[in-house]
Amino acid sequence: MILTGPQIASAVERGDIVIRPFRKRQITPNSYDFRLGDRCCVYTNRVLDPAKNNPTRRFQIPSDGILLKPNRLYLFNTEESMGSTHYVPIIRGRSSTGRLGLFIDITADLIDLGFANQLTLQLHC
Amino acid sequence: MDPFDPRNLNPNSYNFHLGESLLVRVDEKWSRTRIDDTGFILKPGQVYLAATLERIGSDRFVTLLLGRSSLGRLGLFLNITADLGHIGSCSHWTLELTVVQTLRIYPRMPIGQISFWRTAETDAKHYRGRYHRDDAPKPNRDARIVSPSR
Repeated sequence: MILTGPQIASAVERGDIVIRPFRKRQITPNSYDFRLGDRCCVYTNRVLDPAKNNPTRRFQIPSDGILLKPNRLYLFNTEESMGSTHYVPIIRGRSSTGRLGLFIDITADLIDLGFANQLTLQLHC
Repeated sequence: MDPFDPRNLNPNSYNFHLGESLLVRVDEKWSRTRIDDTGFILKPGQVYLAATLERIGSDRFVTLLLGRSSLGRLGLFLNITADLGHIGSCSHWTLELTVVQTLRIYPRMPIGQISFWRTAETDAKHYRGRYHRDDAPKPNRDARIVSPSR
């Protein structure tokens, strides 16, 4: 089962879903359009290793944007804090950005029940 | 889920682990290798086939395979658009590993998550297809993919 846009809006009103800030115009027929935050993080080591700490460089994206390059991972926050203790959120890219070759997550699209915060997006193109 | 350890349970999924066997593309053929304890380095632009350490399946729920956010953040894909399992399938799930940046992986590391979904009806036919009961990474076995008769 999946919630419709109006059901998402009433769940936000009831407090069963957290979306902050919440803007009604971002509701779609069966999802909610979230926005890209402005904080980015990239790895500085050539080889990444899950057994070690991987140093990163952090920066803010300027208002005129940044250019993403292939074979490079960019971690971003979402502008919204999102989550729910009632429903399991699942994130999706937008078809418009998919058509431009942008991945926003890497196999990890299902959010744990009870998480409610800004999400970390794994951008690459 | 075999082996099953309750410590691997998440709020709505189960953490599975990476098996030790890996298929690597060498000279246009799959070559089998073992991931030893010092790890194995995955490079961008190459597909590697691995398998889950656990045997995973259900006759009742649909399995949906997910990555772990911790490894997604390191640029590791676990599958290529084919994340939905079949009811009735039970196997060491073959993972299609690709990376955005060079990444070291280790045998038996917690590598992904599996979630279980109820169906709308209970009349599903159980999967008994060509990958049923796989116990190691298996390459594509469907030569009919490009058959003009389909």
